[in-house]
Amino acid sequence: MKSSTGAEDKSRDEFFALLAFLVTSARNCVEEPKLYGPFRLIDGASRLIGILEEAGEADEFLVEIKEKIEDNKYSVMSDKKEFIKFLDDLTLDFADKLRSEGGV
Amino acid sequence: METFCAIKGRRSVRKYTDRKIPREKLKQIMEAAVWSPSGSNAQAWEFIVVENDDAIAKIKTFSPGIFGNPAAMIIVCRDLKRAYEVCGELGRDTLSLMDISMAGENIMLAAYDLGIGSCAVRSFGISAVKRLYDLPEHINPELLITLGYPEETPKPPKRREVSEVVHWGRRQVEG
Repeated sequence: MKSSTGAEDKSRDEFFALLAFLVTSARNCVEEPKLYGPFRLIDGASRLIGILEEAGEADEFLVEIKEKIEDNKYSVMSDKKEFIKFLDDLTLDFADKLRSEGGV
Repeated sequence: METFCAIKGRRSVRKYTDRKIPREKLKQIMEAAVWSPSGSNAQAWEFIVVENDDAIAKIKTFSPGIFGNPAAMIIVCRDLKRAYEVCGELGRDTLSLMDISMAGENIMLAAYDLGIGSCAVRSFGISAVKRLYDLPEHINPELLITLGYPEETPKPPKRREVSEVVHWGRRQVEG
């Protein structure tokens, strides 16, 4: 049997937590406000980048995306328009990144 | 502290420092909880105070609505059996929810008075927490209240104007 290292255990715990977050979010989104769906998805994206960051796998672009998410995600609770604009901008960040790498 | 200052000053805190909360302070907070009003004085509530970091981490795993690292957490439960025995279906289905909500507010105001931040969270896996804590069928976890010393206190969110929501004598608005 393959023995796991401390780093592997940590990574497994982090993925377990992320998966539990996603599953619980899916269940709760059945009753929660509609806008909590996008909120959970974007929070999940931030958590995933966090795991990649811990593993040394997140590049500068992803780290910046995570910072933007953490700085803006709570606008969902105070300003719907601001939250949607933040999601739009984030989507464009990904498009710009693809374009800078050659585009279509 | 003036009650009104606590009511207006309390915020939903989502970033906490690492500082632990002394047990004495938690006891004071829970004392405030049990002095909350309840329909027919049913007091159909139970509270699980979680201080252990490992236990907090486990609850967080099933709580998309929890942010930051709280020093403690209170699982606010309804006792459906007691609520029904005291006040029938009305107690079980409606009053007990109102009662634990009032207890929750007492908890958060008492915490604020002690310099401790809080956040009420409903976005958690109710069935998962029930399973983790081996709770019997009639004890339902309904609310998590995170507690800790604030690292960051959010700005007050916009409030609807008093004049928009308070009607003196009778409601004069159409619709």
